Amino acid sequence: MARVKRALPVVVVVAFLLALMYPVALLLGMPLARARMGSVSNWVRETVAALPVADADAGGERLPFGGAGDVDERLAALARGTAVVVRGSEVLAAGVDLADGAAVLPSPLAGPAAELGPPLAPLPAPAGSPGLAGRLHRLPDAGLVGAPLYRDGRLLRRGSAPALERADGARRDFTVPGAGRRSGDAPAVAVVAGAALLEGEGFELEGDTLVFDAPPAFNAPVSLLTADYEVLDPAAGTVVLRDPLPPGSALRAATSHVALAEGLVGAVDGENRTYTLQHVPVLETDPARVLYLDDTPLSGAAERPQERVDGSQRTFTFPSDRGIVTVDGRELVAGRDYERAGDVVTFAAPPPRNAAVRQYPDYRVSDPNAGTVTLAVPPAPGQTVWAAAYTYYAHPACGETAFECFLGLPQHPVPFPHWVAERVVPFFTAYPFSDTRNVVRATLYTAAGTLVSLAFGTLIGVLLAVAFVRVKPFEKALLPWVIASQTIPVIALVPVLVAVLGNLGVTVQTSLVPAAIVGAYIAFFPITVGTVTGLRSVDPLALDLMKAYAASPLQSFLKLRFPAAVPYLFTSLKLGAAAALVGALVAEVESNNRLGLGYAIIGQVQAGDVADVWILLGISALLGIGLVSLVGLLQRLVAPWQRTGLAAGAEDG
Amino acid sequence: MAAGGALRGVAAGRGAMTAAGRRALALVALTALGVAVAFAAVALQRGRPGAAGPLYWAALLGGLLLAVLAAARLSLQSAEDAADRAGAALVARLQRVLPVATVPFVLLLTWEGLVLGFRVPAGIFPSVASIGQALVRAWPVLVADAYLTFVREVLFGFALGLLLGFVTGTLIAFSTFLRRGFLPLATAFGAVPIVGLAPVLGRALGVDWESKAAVGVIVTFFPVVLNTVQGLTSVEPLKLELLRSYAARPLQGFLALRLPNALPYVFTSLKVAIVLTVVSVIVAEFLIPGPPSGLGQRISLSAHRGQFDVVFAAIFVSSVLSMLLYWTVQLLERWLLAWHPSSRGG
Repeated sequence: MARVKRALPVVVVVAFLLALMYPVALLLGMPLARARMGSVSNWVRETVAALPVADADAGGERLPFGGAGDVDERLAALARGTAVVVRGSEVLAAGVDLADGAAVLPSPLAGPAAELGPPLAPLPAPAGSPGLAGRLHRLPDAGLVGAPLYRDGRLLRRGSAPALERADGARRDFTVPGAGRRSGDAPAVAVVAGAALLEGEGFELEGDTLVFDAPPAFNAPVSLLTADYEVLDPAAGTVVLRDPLPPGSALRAATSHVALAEGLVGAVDGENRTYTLQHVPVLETDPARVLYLDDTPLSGAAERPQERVDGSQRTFTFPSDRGIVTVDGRELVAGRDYERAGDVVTFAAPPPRNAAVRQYPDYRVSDPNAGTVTLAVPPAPGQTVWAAAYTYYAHPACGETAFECFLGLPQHPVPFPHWVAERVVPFFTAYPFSDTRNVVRATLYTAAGTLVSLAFGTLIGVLLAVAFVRVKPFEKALLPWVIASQTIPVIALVPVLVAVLGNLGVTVQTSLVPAAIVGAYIAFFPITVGTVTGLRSVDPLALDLMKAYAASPLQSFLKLRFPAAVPYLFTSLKLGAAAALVGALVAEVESNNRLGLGYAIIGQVQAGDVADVWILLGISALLGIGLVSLVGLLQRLVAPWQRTGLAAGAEDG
Repeated sequence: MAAGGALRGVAAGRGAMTAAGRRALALVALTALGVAVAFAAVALQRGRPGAAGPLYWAALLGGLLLAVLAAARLSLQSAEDAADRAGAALVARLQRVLPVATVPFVLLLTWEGLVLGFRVPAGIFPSVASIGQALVRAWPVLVADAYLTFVREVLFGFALGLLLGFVTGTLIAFSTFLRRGFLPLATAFGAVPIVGLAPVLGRALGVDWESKAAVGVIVTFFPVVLNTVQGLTSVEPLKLELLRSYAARPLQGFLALRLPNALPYVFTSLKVAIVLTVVSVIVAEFLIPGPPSGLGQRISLSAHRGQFDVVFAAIFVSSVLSMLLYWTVQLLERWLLAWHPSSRGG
């Protein structure tokens, strides 16, 4: 009962501190998470391409495009009256109305919505993966790669999600966000470096994690099939289906098809030059972006002048003879700011030195965040500006909310305590005891280094103390310098020590010597001070008694002074043990000694999980407490008579 | 300097020299001679590119031995031998000053003499002279580094740690529950090695100066808490009874009795903490590689480049500043605690 009463406050305070770690972790981590969310460079890029017609045989006035959730979402996002129905680059109808995932044409379509080529040839399943039979096919013509595939006239959707981790040749676990949310019980298909793998025949799916039987090769792209099919090898024209093709079904690629494209928003009145893309923010430089004015593709490339922009040059020659001219992103007005003669542009005033002088022949993205595009020439009334494809930043890669991003931070400032708790067991069992990376082994190594250095420090400290007490002038001369020695940051001496020891032929990376010297350097000081105090703590009456018995100085030292000093010695040994541990760890870190705990801490900080760092912090604290307790145990063995006196007094006082 | 003053006092002629006084002065002269011989040996060796000869070693070691022996002999001379009071006072004053003053000369000359004598390359261990040159050469950089390390990191961390520690200690002192719950933990937290703590803080607070100041806060915090609690609670019960019989309010009791009682304890912890803070902040600068400024970073970078003369110059600056801080705390203690028995007793 009394024990419970003593322990309760400690438990309450520990619980409070642990609970405090949650808000602290959020306080320090949320700004990082918000910054991560706010920067579009960390966002997922998605390419908006024209949607192929969903039913190859559709005709008439209603063409189906919807059916899948994300497609309907995209159609709903299009501003009213901006959808454009195209075949190839030919605009069939602009300003099309969308209803229930179908486009309503003003006039019926002539001919089928998609003309399909010959069926794809099935490929045999590779050896060792019989489950892939019926899933692998080859296009009759590699030129059809990228053309939509239809199974019995129904559009198949292409798509796969890349893994977050990079293949390093050893890693076997890869995470694909959302991989766990798959419908039905069909086995998943992974694509590794252009080869398909079936779940159960090369990898297992556990939640969002793919666990491969053999580690993928270095830098091999790893992805998981998320839609109906994916192209494996564009050169050979091979594709993999998620579901095997049922017998009697035909898989065909469209040689020509009707598609629904996004029209740019803006008035076409013969004067307006600015139009807006509807999925924003867009990439400023996007190789995938294809804009059309009716059936003419527009070039968004930026041209550089032949001449150097040296601050005095006014005349610049560009590759093409038309377009928007900008200086440092600011558009210039023809006739006022510059005169054009063919491909030669003459500025009214020379642009400043090293300014970015560019010419955009057809259009430029004037505001990526708003998706604004400025055309060089205003389209005439009746013309249509539409996008066949472009890329935009869809959403933050880390998650939808700041908290999700916080959870996904690669480097947490402070972990949640339960993360640390989860990591404890795997952290200790990660390596066998025979491996130098084993934590227990490293801890024992550091403990050994500390004890050796403590022994050295005790020897030096006690010898100095005896000298100080025996020869008073010695103390006067040396004590100020002993004190001054402790103001030297000992970590600064380690590189010097390492250089000297290395020169003397010691392999510092595997040696206890640096730890022993550095630990002894810090540990001797409290031991000296404590022992001097202890040796002086003798009752003067007892000293007089010794003198009266005509005891020799050695006798009185051994029989009187030394026993009196023992409790002080042990108290200072406890201080010295903690100091020696710091010294040993510092020495290990700075001498790159991989066998000890110090290097493990630094290694984890640089490349590891923050929970592991906290575990190591806990281990080093426990090691410190353990070493101090060891000294206490030694005290009980060596000087049992002192247990009740000073020790009790030290705890209460 | 003080020895010179003493000599001048004698030269001014305050009466006849006693035998003890003359012997003491002779020993001072012998010490100076020994140091001078060793110094001359080192100075001559510096100019010669060749290997050190036996003459060099004899002069160096002989000079140093002479200085040490003479200083030791003077220390052991008993002042009571002097018949007159003036002689005894002179001997006592010389005894106080000479050994302390001799040690740095002997240490530095030993260092310099060994480095020169064995022709140790500067990339392994620098000579004292090259450290001095590095100190002059890198002075502006070192001053900027010291400003960052000491003002931004050490002083800020120390002040914040002191404030937080004192407030926490005061709160804990008034609650038995907190005292029981917190004190064992504070002892345990004090055992967390700074090597483990610094990287964690670097991760939490970034690699700039804040994380290093935080190391200073933590290093100061725990000793201050422990000693504040001890000082506030170890009040004599009789005095508390007296205050109660005067019907003093708790705040009055705190200001009049507990706080003055706690101050010596707090200062004891501060003297420990200030030196520890400097060392720990420099360790933190080593372990949290941030922007390349600050004394710890300077030492680390210079050591990696093999510029050990700059390393020692930075160590010197840090040690001197650290001692100055220690003395400042000590002066403050004397000034604030002039009433306390420990100051009055001397």
